[in-house]
Amino acid sequence: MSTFALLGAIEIGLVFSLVALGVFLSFRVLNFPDLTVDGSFPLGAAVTATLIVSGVDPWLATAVAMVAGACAGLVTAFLNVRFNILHLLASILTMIALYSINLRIMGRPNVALLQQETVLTPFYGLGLTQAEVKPIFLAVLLVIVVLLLWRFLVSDFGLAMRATGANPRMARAQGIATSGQIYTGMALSNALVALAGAMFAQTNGFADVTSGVGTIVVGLAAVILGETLFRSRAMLVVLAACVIGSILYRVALALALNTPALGLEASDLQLVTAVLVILALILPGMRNPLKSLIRGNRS
Amino acid sequence: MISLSDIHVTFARGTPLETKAIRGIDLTIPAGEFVAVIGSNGAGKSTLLNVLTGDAPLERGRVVIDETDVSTWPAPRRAGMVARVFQDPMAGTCEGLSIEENMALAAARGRRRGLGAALTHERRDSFRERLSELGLGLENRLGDRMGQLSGGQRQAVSLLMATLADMRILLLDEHTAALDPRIAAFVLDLTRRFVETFKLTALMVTHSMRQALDYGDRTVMLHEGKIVFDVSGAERAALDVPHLVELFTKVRGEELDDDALLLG
Repeated sequence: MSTFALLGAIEIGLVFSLVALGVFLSFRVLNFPDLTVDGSFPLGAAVTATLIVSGVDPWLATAVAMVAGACAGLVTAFLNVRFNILHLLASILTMIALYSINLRIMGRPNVALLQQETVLTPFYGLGLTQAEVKPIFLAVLLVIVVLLLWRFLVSDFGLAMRATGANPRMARAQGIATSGQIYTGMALSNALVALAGAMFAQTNGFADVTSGVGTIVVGLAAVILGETLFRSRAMLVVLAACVIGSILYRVALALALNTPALGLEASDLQLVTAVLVILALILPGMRNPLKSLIRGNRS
Repeated sequence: MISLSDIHVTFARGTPLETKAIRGIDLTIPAGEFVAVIGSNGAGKSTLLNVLTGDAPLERGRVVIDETDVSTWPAPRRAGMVARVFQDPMAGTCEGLSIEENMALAAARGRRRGLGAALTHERRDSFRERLSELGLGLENRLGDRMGQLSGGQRQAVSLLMATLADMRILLLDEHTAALDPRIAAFVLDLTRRFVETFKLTALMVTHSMRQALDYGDRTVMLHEGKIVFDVSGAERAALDVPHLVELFTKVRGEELDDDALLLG
C-alpha cells in the first residue's frame, strides 16, 4: 500500500471516528440504539456544502451543520421520550425523513465543493501536500473533541448521563431527570456525527445525499474494534479507543482492498463492514453493544 | 414531618385488571421517627413507598413533606427530600460504574449536576472515609466495578449512598429481603446505626414480623391497601410476634394464611 493510500485511509478513519464517538454516546452511554446517524451524517455534509457554496464562512457553516445534527438527534429523542415510540423505530423515522430534507437543503443529489474555501484552505499553503494536511488537521480536531468529551463524561452531568443509560430507575431515584439526559445525549451524539459529515464534505470536496448509507454500521465497527483492542474502563482510554478503532478499521479495509488476491472491490465495503460487525456480535465472550437491541428492552 | 392524607392509588383504572392498591391511607410521621411497615403480599407496602417517592400516580390524596405539598412532583424533583434503598441490590446502584462513581451520583442527589469533575481528591477522600465505616474493606476498592460486589456489600453501599446527601425521609423497601440472614442482620444493624447517627426519619417496609417489632419506634400494618393497625411506645414494647399475629387475625376477622409473615 502506498503512503498516499495509507494517508487516505487514516484521513477517512479520522472523519469516521467522530461518528464512532457519536455512536459510543448513544449506544454505549445512553443505551439508545440510534440509527439517526445515517441521516445526520449527510445532513452535516449537505448543510456545510450548501452554506459554503452560498459564500458563508466555512467555520460558521460547520457550526450550523452541528446544530442541524443536534436537532435531528432531538427529534429522535422527542419521538422516543414524549411519544414512547421504540428508540430503534424513532431513529429510523428521523433517518428516512432526513433523506428528503437533505435533498431539499442541497436542491439536488450532490453539491461539489471544489475550488471553494473550506476550514482546511488556510493550512494548504504551509508547505505540506493536501494529502498530509488533511489527516493532521483532523487529528488535531479529534484530540480536542476527545478531550472535551472526556471532561464532559467524567463531570457530574456526564456521570448522570451514564447512569441514565445504565440504570434509569436508579438515576431517577437520585434526582436525575432521565428524559433531559436523553435529549442532551442524543443532540450531542448527532452533532458529532454531523461534524463528521461536515468534515467529510470539506476533505472530499463534495456532499452527496447517499453518503450516509451504512454510517451506523461503520461507527459500530469502530467502537467494537476499539473496545476489543483496549479493554479499559478509564473514560479517556475508552474514547481514544473509538478513534483508534476507526483508523485501524479503515487501514485494514484499505489493505484488504489493495490486496488483489482477495478480489475485493470498493463497492464490497458495506458487505465487509456488515460481516465484520456480525462476527463481533456472535463471537462469544465479546462485549456487545447491540445487546439492548437484541433483547429489545429498555425500561 | 411527613404527612399522607386520604391517599388512594388505583392501577389500570377502568380495565378488567383494575387494582385498588391503596384505599384511603392517612399517616403522619414526625421528624426523627423510624416506622416499620408490615403487610402481606399485595397489601400496598411498596405502593406506599412509591407514593412517597413520586413513582405511583395518586388518584386522590395529598403528600406533604415539611409543609411542602409534593403531591404533583415527579420522582426526580423529590429526590432532594427522599432517599431510597431498593429491595433488589441491582436496582439501587449502577453495576457498570465504579463504587466511587456510584457514590458521586448519590452525593449529588437532589442537586444541580454541573460540568465540574464528579470525582475530586476531596470527594474520593470523603468516600474512602465513609466506606471504612462499613468495615468491609471497601475503602481500598473505590475504583472497582459495583457489579463485582456481593449482594450484601451492594446493599450496604446503597445504604451508605443514601446518607451522602440530605433528606427528609429515608425509604427502605424490604432492603434485606434478598440477602442471607447473617448479611441481612448486618445491613439491619447498619440501618439502625445510620438512623440514630444522622437522626433520620425513616420508613422501612418489611416482610418479617420480627423485624417490624425489633427495629424502629413504631409498627404499622397494612392490609388490602389500608392501615389495619398502628402501634408505638409501651403498647408496642409489650408486643411479641404471636400477639401481632393474633391482633392481625382479630382486626381482619380472618385466618392469617401467609406463612411468609411468620418467618424470621
